[in-house]
Amino acid sequence: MKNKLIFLLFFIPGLLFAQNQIRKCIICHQKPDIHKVMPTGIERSVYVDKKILRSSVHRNLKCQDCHVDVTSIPHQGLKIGRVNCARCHFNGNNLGAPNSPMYQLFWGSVHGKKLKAGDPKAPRCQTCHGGHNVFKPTDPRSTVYKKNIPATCGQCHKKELHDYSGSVHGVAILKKGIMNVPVCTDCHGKHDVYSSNMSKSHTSKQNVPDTCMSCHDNYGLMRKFKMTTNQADTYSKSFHGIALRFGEKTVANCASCHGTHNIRRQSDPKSSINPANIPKTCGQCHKGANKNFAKGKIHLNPENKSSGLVYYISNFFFWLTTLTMLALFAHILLDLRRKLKEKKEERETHK
Amino acid sequence: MPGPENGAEAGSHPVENDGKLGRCREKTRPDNQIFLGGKMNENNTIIRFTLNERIQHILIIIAFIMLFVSGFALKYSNNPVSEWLIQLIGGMENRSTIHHLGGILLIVVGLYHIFYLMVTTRGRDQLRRLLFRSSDRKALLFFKRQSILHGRFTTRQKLQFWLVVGGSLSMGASGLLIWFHDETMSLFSKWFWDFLFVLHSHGAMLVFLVIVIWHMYDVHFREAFPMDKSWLNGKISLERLKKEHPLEYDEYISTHPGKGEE
Repeated sequence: MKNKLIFLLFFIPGLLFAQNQIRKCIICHQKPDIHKVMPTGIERSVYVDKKILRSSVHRNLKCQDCHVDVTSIPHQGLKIGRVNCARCHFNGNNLGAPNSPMYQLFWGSVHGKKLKAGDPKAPRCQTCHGGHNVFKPTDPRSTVYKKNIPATCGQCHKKELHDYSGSVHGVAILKKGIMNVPVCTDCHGKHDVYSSNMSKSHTSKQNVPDTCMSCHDNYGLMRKFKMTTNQADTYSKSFHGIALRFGEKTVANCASCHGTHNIRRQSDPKSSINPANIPKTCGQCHKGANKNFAKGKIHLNPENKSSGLVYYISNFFFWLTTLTMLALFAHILLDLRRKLKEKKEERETHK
Repeated sequence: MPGPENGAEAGSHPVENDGKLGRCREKTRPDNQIFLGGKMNENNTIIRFTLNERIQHILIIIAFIMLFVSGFALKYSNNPVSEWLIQLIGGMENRSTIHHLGGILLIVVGLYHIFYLMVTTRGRDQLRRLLFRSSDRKALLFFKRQSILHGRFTTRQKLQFWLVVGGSLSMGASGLLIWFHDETMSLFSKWFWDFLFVLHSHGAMLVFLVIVIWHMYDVHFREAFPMDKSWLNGKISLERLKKEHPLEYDEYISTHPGKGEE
């Protein structure tokens, strides 16, 4: 009983205090039709959903902690700028924000560079993470929750979102709710999004196979979907895969044939690897590609029985080579032994 | 004369008289002294391979080295040596170029060799001597070595020659089809190309075993360690000729009276 009283003694004022942080501002800002007029003449809503703010990760902060240039109420004459998240969010802070090199990574990314260059369309922290509705990425309400990422990126990347929504990955997560499939950030990176022309990009020509293989070479994960890691193995051993590993830039990687955002099942008529579309897909590089290109497997493993004739030929040659090798070495050893014997006899007769 | 490759053939095709095979080195000692006392002079040699043949052979060696090195670098591309090699020659594109150039060289020399064997007098004679005869059948069926007398080419040499011919033909043909992959796949199918690729890849290993390992052992290690120079100067000593190619030796003696005595 005593303990409970002590607990309440500390807890209730704490609760009140927490609400106190936003109490004054919210009086006006909780009105749904509250807006300000920008210097350009555009009206902008400055409504704040109290419930969302109170459950966000910043629930214990005061409004002024972020909106530092709001020094008085009312603030009609004040010049109020954008919130600068880097006041707390820098690597090595002790203000409760997570410590990570991701803040710095952002400025090197394609978005950060554009922002630095003054591109008005370039995204800031708030564009993806939200303003008052910042939640942990594991929280389904978060804009950066896995399932919400396509929509978040799709605010600007509309065509990509459209392609992705119809793809095998997009349908799985957006319609079927399968969380194992990749969303935008799984392939492109989060704060470290680079242009595909940059060698360090996760989606550069050289890195695409590794990016895809982070899942498609994972036997346990692929088994969940009744798939194999065969595609990853055979690509690595194929001419395309070997040449890419040695730095050739003209050879095909996964995306060259399967597409990027619009990856679909082979059985899907819209798929770039549907037998009907193979001539066009291969024809991007191989001039004169026709329907014969679709006769036979592309991801062929000669050691697998499903490869048919190639499997048997491969096996036949394995045994032929092995037996030839054995016969050859046996022949050489026996012949050598006899030669040495003859020489010895010759020497003895000369003595 | 014993054996199937007897004098009748030598009589009907007196090639040795054209002065190529039979050309003798200038000797410092009179001929009739050479075989006396059972010891023969090492300098007493005859030309076994003409300059033309030696150049063909060296070109084939160059082609084979280019093809094997660049080919196995792809076949075993995970091997650190292959990785080093491919980076040394400047990437996969250069590797392909070297392989294609080697292939062209092999095909050109091969076509010339066919022409040489079909058209020239010496070539036609050599081809005839490369055919298998009953003595070779005996050798292949493990008859006693002493009972078989070889002519210009031993059974092993004949086998190696025909394996090179077969290997070059199949590797050349499949190689060309693989090289022009777009045309091959358009005309036939993807699986046919895969079939060719497996054939080419495994065939190369077989050819390598037979040609390089067996032939090198046979020529250099077996009889003339550390190296038989006849691939460079084309010469063979009469001593070795008598021992290894007794029928050819008999033929040579019968057409060059006074060169040696039985």
